[in-house]
Amino acid sequence: MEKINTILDRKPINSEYINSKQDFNKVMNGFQKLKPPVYKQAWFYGAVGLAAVAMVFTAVSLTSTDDDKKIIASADVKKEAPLEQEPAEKTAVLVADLSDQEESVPEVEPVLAKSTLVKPAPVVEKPPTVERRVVEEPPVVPETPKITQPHIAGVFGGAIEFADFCDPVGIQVNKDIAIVEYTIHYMSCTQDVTFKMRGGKIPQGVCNELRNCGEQIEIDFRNVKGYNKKTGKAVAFGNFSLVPIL
Amino acid sequence: MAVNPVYHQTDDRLQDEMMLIRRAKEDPERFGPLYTKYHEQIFRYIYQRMDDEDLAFDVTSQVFIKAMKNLHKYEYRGVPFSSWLYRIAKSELYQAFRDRKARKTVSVESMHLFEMIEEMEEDDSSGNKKKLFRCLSLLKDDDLQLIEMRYFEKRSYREIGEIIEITENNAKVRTFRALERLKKLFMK
Repeated sequence: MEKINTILDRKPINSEYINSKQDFNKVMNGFQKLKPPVYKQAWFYGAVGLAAVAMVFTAVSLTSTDDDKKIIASADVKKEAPLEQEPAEKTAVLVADLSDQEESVPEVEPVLAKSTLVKPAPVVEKPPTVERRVVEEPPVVPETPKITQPHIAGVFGGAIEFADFCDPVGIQVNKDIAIVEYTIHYMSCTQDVTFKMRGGKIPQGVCNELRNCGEQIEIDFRNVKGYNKKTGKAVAFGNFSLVPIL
Repeated sequence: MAVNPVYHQTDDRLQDEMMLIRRAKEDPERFGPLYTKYHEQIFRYIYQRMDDEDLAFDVTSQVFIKAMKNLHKYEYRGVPFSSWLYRIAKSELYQAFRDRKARKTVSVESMHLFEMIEEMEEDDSSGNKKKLFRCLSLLKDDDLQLIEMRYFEKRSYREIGEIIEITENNAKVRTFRALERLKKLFMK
């Protein structure tokens, strides 16, 4: 058994002395120290958890970019096949989705598949409008993503309004990129046309020829090259095709 | 036997105390009035069972720190705030014994011994007093705690029950049995 100290008639302590020893500040300080540190509080775990999820999501979307490009390339190849085999609407949705993901990617050297000869499609169904390509869901990345693919009037591939196609602005990527040259290829109603162009504008002659033909012709843009205005670095872009609707 | 008058409160005082507790729950800085009110009681409870005065003051502070930390858990369900503090004090006291190697102490006054000998219906001789004093240190912790609270601190059975978390009747029975065991030790 533990030995207990017994004291008989211990000198009593008076109340004044005890009260003089009261120190609420000491108690308050002790209480403050007992509060859990920031890293043990629930909101901290919430914030860290959200940040981790955002980072994982960003990492996944960045690493999947190359795969997406391959999918774009395969989508281009599919598009070159007769349109009866593949509904235009389905293709448009695929391209739209991929272009959305492409937007969040910084400048990347193109790895697109070599283009093949484009045969004019005998029948072109009503193509998707430009509005369908607009991202409706807010992007996860807070910053507005830069467009890194060439386009004309916001159309990256497929059908385009004739007026938009012949707009003097021509091929664009984003405000930091200036188009230096590209090769245009199409089969007009009279001949197979291929020539190289300086700058990003569409030649008026091409527009006139398309208008005169009166058919829907697929225009193939290859070897699109540009440079970054900020860094001065040359950038090459993937091929893309447009079908101006008269 | 006279009982501890601080424990018994009128309804008005209880309401005032509940108000103080509510305010302290909202803002810990407002725990001050409760600290001032109960500091002495808690200190005396601890010092009664400890031989080191400075350590007793430290443990008292620790009791109030723990009380502030856990105040959000306290709700009045018939157990007065003071009893809740005593429970914390009891826990901190045993913690102090474990951590700081403070010695368990029983502080007895001659008057208390006299009253106990009367209760045992024995002669009030100095020899008996010494014998009883010695027997106290031989009691088990639980028994000694009941004897201390009932005979030395003059607490009611109800208050004893609330502090050690048993019913009033149970406190009465256990205290009686503790006294019986003390008598047995005394008669040996």
